[in-house]
Parts: sequence; C-alpha cells; structure tokens
Amino acid sequence: MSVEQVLIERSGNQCELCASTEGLAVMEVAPSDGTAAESILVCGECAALLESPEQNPNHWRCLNDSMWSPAPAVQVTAYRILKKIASEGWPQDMLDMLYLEPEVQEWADAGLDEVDDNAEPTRDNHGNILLEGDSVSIIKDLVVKGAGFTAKQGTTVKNIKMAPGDPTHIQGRVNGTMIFLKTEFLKKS
Amino acid sequence: MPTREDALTLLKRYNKNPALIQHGLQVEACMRHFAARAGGDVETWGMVGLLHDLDYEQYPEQHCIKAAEIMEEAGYSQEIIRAMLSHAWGICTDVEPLSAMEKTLYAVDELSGLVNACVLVRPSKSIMDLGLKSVKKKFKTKRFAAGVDRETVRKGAQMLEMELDQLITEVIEAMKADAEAIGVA
Repeated sequence: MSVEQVLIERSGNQCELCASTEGLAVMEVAPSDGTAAESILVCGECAALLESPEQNPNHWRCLNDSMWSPAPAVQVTAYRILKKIASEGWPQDMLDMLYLEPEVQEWADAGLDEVDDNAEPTRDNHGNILLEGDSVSIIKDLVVKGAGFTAKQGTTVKNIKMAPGDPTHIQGRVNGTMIFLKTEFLKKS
Repeated sequence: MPTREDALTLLKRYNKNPALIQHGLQVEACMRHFAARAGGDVETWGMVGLLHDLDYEQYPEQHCIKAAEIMEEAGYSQEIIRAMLSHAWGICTDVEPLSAMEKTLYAVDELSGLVNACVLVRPSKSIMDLGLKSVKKKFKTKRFAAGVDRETVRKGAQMLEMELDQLITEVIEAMKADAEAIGVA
C-alpha cells in the first residue's frame, strides 16, 4: 500500500487538519523518513497556508479538533502552527491544553528549531539578542490583557521562552502566569 | 428571569468557538450535578456554569467585567452575576467564592477542562471508559493540559471540604451523565 493510500485510510479521505476533502495531497512532516507515520494528508488550502500560518490565523481554529488526533504527525503539525500564531491569544489557550508525548515533543521542537535558524533574532530594548532560558527585567509597567494584573517595572522574568516566528515577543512567567511580553519593554539581565 | 434556553442563546451569541461553547455546557453539567448533590437550585447553578466564560472569546481583556455588564442587561440576578465573577477570583476579579454554588464553580471549572482533555487523548474519545486513576495520573503530569491550574483545583476541593479524589470522581460522573449533550460520549 502506498503512503497516500495509508493516509487516505487513516484520515477517512479528508484533510487531517481541517477535514476538507478538496485537493488532498501527502505532506511530509520534517524531519521525516517519508513513511506514512511521518506524513499527513492535507487539503490545498491548508497546504498553501502551512508555510506562513499567520496569513490567516482564523483558518487554524480547525486545530481545536485535529490537535487531538492520535497520529503524532498531525499533533506535531498542529503544535508547530499554533506556536507560530500563538500571539493571537486563542492559539496559546489551545497550546496550553495540548500534550505531546516526550518523543513527539522532541520531533515537534526539532522542526521549530529548523525554522528558527533562519528567523530574525529576538532582541531586547537595547538590541541585545535574547535566547531561550535568559532572564530579563521589565522596564515599564505593563497591563496584562485577560489576566487582570499589571506586570510591574523592575520585575525579573527568568527562564524565558521564544515566540516562534515572532521576534517582537517572548514568553515568560509573571505572577505565576505564562504571558507574552513585548521585547521593546524588556532588558536582558 | 431568563430561561436555560435564553442563557444558551446568549452564550452562542457571544461565542463562535465550539470549544468554548462545549466548555460552558460541560461546566453546566457539573454544576447541575453538584446542585442536586448539595440540595441547591439545579437551574440556577446550571446557568452559572453555562455562562461563566460568556465574554472570554470577544472580550478577553475585560474577562468577567464585560460578562457582568451583559448579564445585568439581560436580566440575570445578582446571585448569578456574583457567582460568575467569583470563578476568576485572584486572576481577573477580587470576588471570593463564598456560597456553595460559587465554591463549586471555582472547583469544577478548571477540573472539567482537564477531564475533557483526558477524554480527547483516549482512542475511544469517550468519557465512558475514563476512570479516576487515569485522570489522577494526568493531573500529576504537569505538562498534560498545562493550562489547567492544578493549584486552583486543589484549592477548590479544599473550599468544598472534599478530597481531591472525590472531587475528580464527581466531575467524571457529572460529565458521564450528560456525555452526549456535552460532546464526550
């Protein structure tokens, strides 16, 4: 049985991301060995948006269902898309609920790292490059939308995480809540 | 006083995301279950569950505050509005859960989300074969449904003077009883 036939059977002959039946094609989920286990079946619309998911974030609300697929390749794709559009807010809520088994998480992160290699570096207010795990200080009081508190000037945020595909934000824990912070209001500690 | 149907219509007017509507229905099911158990008014408790995140999709930056305005305009009682406000105690509001209904909402909101996630990762996608042991294991795995604040769930159990195991069991039972309607059958 060909990879395509396996995927058609696995998916019920529909896009594994949005359930459309139009223009279905096989897509390998990098890094992939080309097998069905490391590929997904996607429709024309999803395929066109995969390179730059931020072009139409609302299309990816379909991941609300598909991120729970039992197929790791679908989980990995959903995770990477959500990471890229996380600053929209609702995708972060979905990421907060998603769980990937450790080996699947490793696969998902490997793909993100490939993307990051070509990305614009994330810099603080003074132009210093920020990296995963760095500590930063907040240089201005920031009202945190949706969380009902203000992240105070002078607060140190340890062990920051990058916002893939978005060098203007980082993620960090303030008042026990994981939030996005604009890098223009941060200084590397 | 608006009916349950009015409340559902209101929820759907402000929410297009099916996951948020489903969450409202799931919390409603839990609230109705706990109301029956505590001798509370099942309709009132259910409505509080259904509408607790009414404004989250459209007004995330004014969560709870906007919902209070909308609910007041729609004729909901202060009892229901206060309960809605109290579910975000310490996060978006300073309204402490005091009544049994408010404490229950605080306790089941996050936990029902965790149970839902436990269902979605099962091959059966059904709550019918989900047990306490499985949920407890996922509860202890911090990376699983990391958005669910375990501390809030523990605090909720304490408020209700229930063991965590008992609270989880009751939430599973509540969701099982209404599984078809709340999307976990």
